[in-house]
Amino acid sequence: MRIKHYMLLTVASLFIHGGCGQDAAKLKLAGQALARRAAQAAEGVTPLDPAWDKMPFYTAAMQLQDVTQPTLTTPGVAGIDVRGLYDDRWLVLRLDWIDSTVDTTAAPARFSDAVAVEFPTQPGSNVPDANMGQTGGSVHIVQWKADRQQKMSRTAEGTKALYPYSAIDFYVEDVPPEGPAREQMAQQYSPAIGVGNPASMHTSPVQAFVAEGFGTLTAVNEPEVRGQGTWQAGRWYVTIGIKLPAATAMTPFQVGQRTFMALAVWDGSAGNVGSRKMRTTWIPFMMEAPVTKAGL
Amino acid sequence: MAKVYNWQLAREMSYWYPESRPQRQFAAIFDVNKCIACQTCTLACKTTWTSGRGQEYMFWNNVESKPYGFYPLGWDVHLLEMLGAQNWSDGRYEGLTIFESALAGERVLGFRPQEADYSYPNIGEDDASGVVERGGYFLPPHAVWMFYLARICNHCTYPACLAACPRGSIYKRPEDGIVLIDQSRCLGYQECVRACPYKKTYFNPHTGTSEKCIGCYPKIEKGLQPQCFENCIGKIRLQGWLSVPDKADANNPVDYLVHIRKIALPLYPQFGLEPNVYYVPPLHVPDGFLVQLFGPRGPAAVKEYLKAREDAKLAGLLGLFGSAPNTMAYFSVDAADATAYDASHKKVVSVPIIEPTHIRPDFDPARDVARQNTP
Repeated sequence: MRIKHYMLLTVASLFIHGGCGQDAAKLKLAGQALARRAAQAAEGVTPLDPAWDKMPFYTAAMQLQDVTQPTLTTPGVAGIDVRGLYDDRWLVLRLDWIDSTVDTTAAPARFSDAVAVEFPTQPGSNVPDANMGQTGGSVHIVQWKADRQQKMSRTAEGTKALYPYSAIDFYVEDVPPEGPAREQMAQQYSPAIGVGNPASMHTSPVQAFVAEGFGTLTAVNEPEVRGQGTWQAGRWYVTIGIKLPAATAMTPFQVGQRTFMALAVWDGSAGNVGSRKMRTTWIPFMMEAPVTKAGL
Repeated sequence: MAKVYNWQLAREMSYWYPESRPQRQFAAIFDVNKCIACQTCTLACKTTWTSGRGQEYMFWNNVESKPYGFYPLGWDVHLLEMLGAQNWSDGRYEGLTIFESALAGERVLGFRPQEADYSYPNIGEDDASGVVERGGYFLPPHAVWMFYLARICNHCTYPACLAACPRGSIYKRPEDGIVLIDQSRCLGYQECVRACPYKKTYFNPHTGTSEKCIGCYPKIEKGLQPQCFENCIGKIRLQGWLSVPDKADANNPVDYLVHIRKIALPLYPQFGLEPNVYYVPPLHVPDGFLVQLFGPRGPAAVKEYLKAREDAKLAGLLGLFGSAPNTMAYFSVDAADATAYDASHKKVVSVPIIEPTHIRPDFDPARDVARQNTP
């Protein structure tokens, strides 16, 4: 069963495998429309867009991260359902999994729910280690974190956001008048923000990284990524959009080319963070060529 | 795991990385018996480094009352219980360190304090070990006791925070041994918070990274002692440089008190980190408690400390504590004075071994007033 081995990521195949039994031409049009929404959602097709429900999906079985210390010793999320689509600009994945607790805050001894998808940076079947890559074998990782998303929508900052009833006299950094002096002071008291640490900059719920082995995770600006997550009825639904590079670029994201992805997921309530996570090995997938009218 | 030598344990032990000592090691001595828990050190640190958003609960420096004070709650007793038996034999530690007793899949034996554990910074403050019975009074040895324990990051030789960080975001500076978290690299996993047995790393929920005492390294680089040292009202602190035991220099105040007189002792050496803040242990505390906190030399250190009354060199050196803002790399004591020098042997300050006594008549004839003996 091909579907078991490949994720079929084309708007056309999407509906074919959805098996709606409708007219093929209309299905294809519908698919294109969805693809446009995906590009938006890359500008975010919403995670709960009903169109996702009609798409075939692959259930990735998760396993404990038990390769490097610290490991996860208590099994968490068992599986992630993966759907995908692409157009000429964006590859969008919808990932959903069971999680009975909503963890949108990172605080002392509190951790955020999160999910990540990993790809080899180079095409071909000679893939690097699925566990964060290896020296000379880099991987791209795109991570969505609930707390990043939550922080974007907060009106209060810092402790006031976490503990609305806390009493705080004043912040030294607020003493200078609004402007560069205040910003400079704020950076002095939040050095991670001052040096632009991606863990501190919450401009998007998702962040792209590159890695060449454990402990090498490094934030990158390319590829451009976007995403969004919604929790509903005991399940997280997350979209991760990856802007596709130019067709000429050396990339695993070539239509009709077999490549791989791996997944990782964190349950904040269970203390999952960093390498304490559930993960997969490489999952082969292919961005199938759109099915043309002639091919139908 | 590598094999490294921990001289505080008098044996080799396992550590995540091979032994790599800095060119010189930041070290400090706190004379517990002089601390009055005024928390001026705490505020000096707080106003300098941690008055920003997300840092509200952080105390890179704190002073807690022992035996019932903790910040965060139960930080030491919790780990002591996890660690199991901690026996010493002739100065050698026979138990397991937190590296050697790490559970499967972990780098270090540790625990994460819960959020509420940071809610009681003053718990146990001034609480004595028990109730003073009616009619009871204080004569040594004290049946009921307490003391103040000032704490900063120990800038350990074998930091657990550094070992535990899966990203390698924590490093020990080769030039002075100060342990820092790279704020551009930390992703806030809080593994360092879990691993540090002294709980001196803190997660900042505003920045999403962990932060810790930086040993006031901008001051250290200028030959000055950290803020919590310079502002100490009780003059309990001295900052200098520590050599390994076989290179101890009798003219180095830290070496002299740690290696030669063996008066200043590490806090919880059995954890295995070779911490570099040393304590002149408190008087009037049961030997068992001294050994638990400071290792097997605790009772002997107290006895040695009490010799200062007749020991001019020791008394003079203790008088140099808090007498100048500069780092004290060397010292000398003559018949009347103790003198501190910086790393280039330049004189920093001299203090009398015995403070001169000034007696003022209780009546001031020039102003025709009686002097009050109250401020």
